Amino acid sequence: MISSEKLTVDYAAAIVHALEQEMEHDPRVFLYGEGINDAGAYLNSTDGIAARFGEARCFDVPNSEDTLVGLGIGSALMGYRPVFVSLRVDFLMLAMNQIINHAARWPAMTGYQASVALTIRALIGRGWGQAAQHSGALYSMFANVPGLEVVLPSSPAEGAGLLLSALRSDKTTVFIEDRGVFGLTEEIQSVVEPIPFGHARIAREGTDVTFFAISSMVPFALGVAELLTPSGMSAEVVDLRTARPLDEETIRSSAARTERVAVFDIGWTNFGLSAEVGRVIIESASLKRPLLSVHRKDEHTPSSAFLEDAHYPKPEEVARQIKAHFS
Amino acid sequence: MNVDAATALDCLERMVVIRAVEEAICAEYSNRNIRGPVHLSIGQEAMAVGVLSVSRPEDVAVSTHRDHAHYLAKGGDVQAMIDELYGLDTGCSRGYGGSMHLFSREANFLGASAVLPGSTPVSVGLGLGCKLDGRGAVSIGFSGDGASDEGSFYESINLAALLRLPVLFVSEDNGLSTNTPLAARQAQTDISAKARAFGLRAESADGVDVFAVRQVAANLLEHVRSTSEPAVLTLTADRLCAHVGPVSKIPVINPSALLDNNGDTNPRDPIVSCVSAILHDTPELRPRVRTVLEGVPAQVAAQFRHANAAFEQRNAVAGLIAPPPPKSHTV
Repeated sequence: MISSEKLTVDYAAAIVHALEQEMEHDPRVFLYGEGINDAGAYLNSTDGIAARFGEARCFDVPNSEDTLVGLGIGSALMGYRPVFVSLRVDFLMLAMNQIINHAARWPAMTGYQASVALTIRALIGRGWGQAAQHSGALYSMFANVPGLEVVLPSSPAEGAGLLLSALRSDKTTVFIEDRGVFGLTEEIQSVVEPIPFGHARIAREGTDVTFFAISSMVPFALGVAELLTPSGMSAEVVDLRTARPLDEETIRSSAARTERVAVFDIGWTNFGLSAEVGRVIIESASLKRPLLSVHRKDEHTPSSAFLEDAHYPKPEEVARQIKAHFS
Repeated sequence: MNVDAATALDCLERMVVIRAVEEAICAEYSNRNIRGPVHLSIGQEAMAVGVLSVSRPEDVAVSTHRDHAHYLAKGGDVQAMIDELYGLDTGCSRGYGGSMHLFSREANFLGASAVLPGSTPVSVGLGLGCKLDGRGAVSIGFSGDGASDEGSFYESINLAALLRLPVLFVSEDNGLSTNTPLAARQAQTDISAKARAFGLRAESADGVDVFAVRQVAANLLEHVRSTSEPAVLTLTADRLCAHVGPVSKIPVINPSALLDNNGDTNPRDPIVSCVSAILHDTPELRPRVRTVLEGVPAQVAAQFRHANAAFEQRNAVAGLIAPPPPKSHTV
């Protein structure tokens, strides 16, 4: 039964709500992560889970990322639906052997007789001076790999719906959560409905230019679109939601309609979202103006507030750039 | 011998099946219908058979690139494995896995990893699954001594001990990682000693003697099952074949030589060791030993002919041209 009741929540509360809903519904789902039951852990996005479901279904673990992913793979092979929560995407670099060589490949190596229904939540510590090793986006490394699903939610409602799909997916899902979306608050359905992967969302309709965005760059792109309104430029903002599978159809159709495209990425530009969106468009459409890529600096994140500020794009600057580029 | 006649013959037969399959691989490989790297278990059969002959069907196991013996000893279908080597869709991994990634859901052999120490962390997860299921099954994770060079091998032992998971880590020490000796890779070469530092039970046995392996494995499996605590079993044996490739270093099974102990037999060959023990303790089993030594290779040869015919038939449609034989099997 779909309830029409709504809740107004921040991102962390939306994630907790989706987790609780699914854990209530499916006893095979459990969570684990380093310090997962600490007060305020994971920016409050695991709050109350252990209290409600017991520590057997939400447990603390040692700093052994590679082995922790193996723990998830093995229990998934036994029919469970584990969720490994990693404080930072950067920490998953220690687990690349298990994620890529094992979680992503085990189904293929068994002739698709086995599945690894594992969800890996990992946070990006954007902002707050977290420097190079705590703020990496790094999602495109995973998006390169067949067998993985890579999800980049942009808001509380998106996070809840996409997480539900991740928990129900038979594949390994890398669910990457930018600290930039944790501050957002919006209405969500009290009974969360899953948002299917590979279906982009038109976050704002427009006619002159399409902004393809993911994760925290969706609200960013919406802000840029508003800044451009006075100049008469109508920007469409597309939330791609998942880097793998990628909604190539929506990319092609929106790009064909506006014939102007900017890509708003949370990661570095080389071999990132711009390259991928560009590939999809170049395979089909012709553009009036060259593709424009909006992204962080191609460098490792500095800690200083001033340097960090310069590291990320700014709406006003980008709006000027867009005007100059597409006018 | 510490077992009855039926058990002794069963262990021998299981080892001879593994040996016969691998000898057939060596014989067939140059015909170029079997492709890909093969990591043989010749010399190491007693470790797989000893442990898995005292496990239960519901116990789950994972292995490494050297997985033939574990798959077969766990009860994986022989024809399905041979079909897999030929890349047929009737193969146990439907042709996707090949020699290094055998799989059998029916036998609870849940896969094999060819990156060290890949299946060891996975075996910890299987142990968690067993514990959550609460049906008394345990996880058995096979690895070689090479895997114990890696950090997450020890992370796995720690995590299983910490979470009290029913996992038997079986470390098969053949003394070599490809060709680099254990002593050239590890400051402390006693894997069980390191495992004991995590506060769990760890034992060692001669991995050439299938009956010795059975005894210690049965004790450890009972311990793991009854306490839901992991244990480590280190077994030592000789790899009587190349690291990779269809290259055996010992003669093929010769029933007369084995029965009369008058041929070129290697005391570190677990089949020689098993036959000697049976004939010494129960000489009246001689005719039945002969039946195993002669009958199993003939049966396996027929299964290879079956797969070979299916491959040829399939290839008559696909028209694949076999690549020239590789100069080396190690690339």
